[in-house]
Amino acid sequence: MFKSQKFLIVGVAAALLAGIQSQASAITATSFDWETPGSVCMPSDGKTSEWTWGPNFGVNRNCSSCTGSANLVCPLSTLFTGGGSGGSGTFGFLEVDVYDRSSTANVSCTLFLINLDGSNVFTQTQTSSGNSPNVQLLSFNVNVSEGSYANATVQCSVPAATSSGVSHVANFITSASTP
Amino acid sequence: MSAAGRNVVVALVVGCAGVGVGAWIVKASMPRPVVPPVESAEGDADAQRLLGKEVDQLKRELVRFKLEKLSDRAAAAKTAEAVSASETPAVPAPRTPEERAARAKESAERWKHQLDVTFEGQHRDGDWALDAERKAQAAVSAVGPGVTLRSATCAETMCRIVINNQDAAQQQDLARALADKEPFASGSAFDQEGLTTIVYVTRAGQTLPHLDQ
Repeated sequence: MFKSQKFLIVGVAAALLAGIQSQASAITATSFDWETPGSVCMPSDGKTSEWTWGPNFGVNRNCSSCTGSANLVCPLSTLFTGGGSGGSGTFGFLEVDVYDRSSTANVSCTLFLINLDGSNVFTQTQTSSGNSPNVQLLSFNVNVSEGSYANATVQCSVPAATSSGVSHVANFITSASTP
Repeated sequence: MSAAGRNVVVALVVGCAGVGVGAWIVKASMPRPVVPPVESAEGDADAQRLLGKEVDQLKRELVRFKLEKLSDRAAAAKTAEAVSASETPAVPAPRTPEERAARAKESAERWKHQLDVTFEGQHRDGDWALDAERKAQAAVSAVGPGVTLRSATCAETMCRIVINNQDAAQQQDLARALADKEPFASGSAFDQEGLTTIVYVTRAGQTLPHLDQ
């Protein structure tokens, strides 16, 4: 058998295996989703009397005398086991469901992945656009190994109510996968 | 074309076929949706009735899908429990605070190494890199006195930005101050060496390389 024919056979076999392997991995990877209600959020800038929490639609800033934006901090820490405790998965995606009813400002959320000593490991920010009575999805493409951090926290800036309505932080959906 | 060249072309074609076969296997292994029989519609009343049936069918499918998803999750959780109970992990989970801290430090160092290797292996996308470097400079300058930019270098899909901090308290607040500013908002990994902070920033629409376990 010629040398070039041997190369051909090896190449064909490797390419076939690689092709099938890449598709088969789509079957074996396990993905987990967790939902966390917006009601876990707490005021982080002292404006404690400006918020209303509910069993549905999370937390909203429903006060007529409020002005400007106010901040919430929303711990998602119970969902992850990284940062030295041996997490082997990957935090793939975060989706924050918000209602932006303000005609003057947007809802903005920042994901913080935090180390054991409290220092920041990773941040990413997404912001709503315009204003709408309907829910808007803020999508974070995270792709960070769970071994790299200890907990996850989201901070959201929510505008005051306007004639267009009241803004909310309703829900968090996190998606992680294990190898 | 030489024989070796032809062979390479054939190998590539067969490789693509392999991907196709794999995709077909995946598709064939997935449950097929139940498609309601199509009935002939005559007139508005029939069309309305058909539409109603299709909506009902879709609702049932949705409920079934949700139930399947819940069932999958329960099964996955049981499997995970069984695995953790029956198998000894390759690397034992840390027990003490010291072990946890050591593991966290080791993970951070490995991730930083991966980020550095990826960054240094990239070529420079001139327009984007220059724009991102200018924005980084502006964002760091806006943080206030005591925070100075030592360097901002961008490549193809990521930047490495080195910042000097005057004191530790200021350094702790740095990530919060930069998190919603361009180019940091699209995703930033932070590393600290004394009072120096190194920030790896990903280009919008991209992600940073994650830590290999």
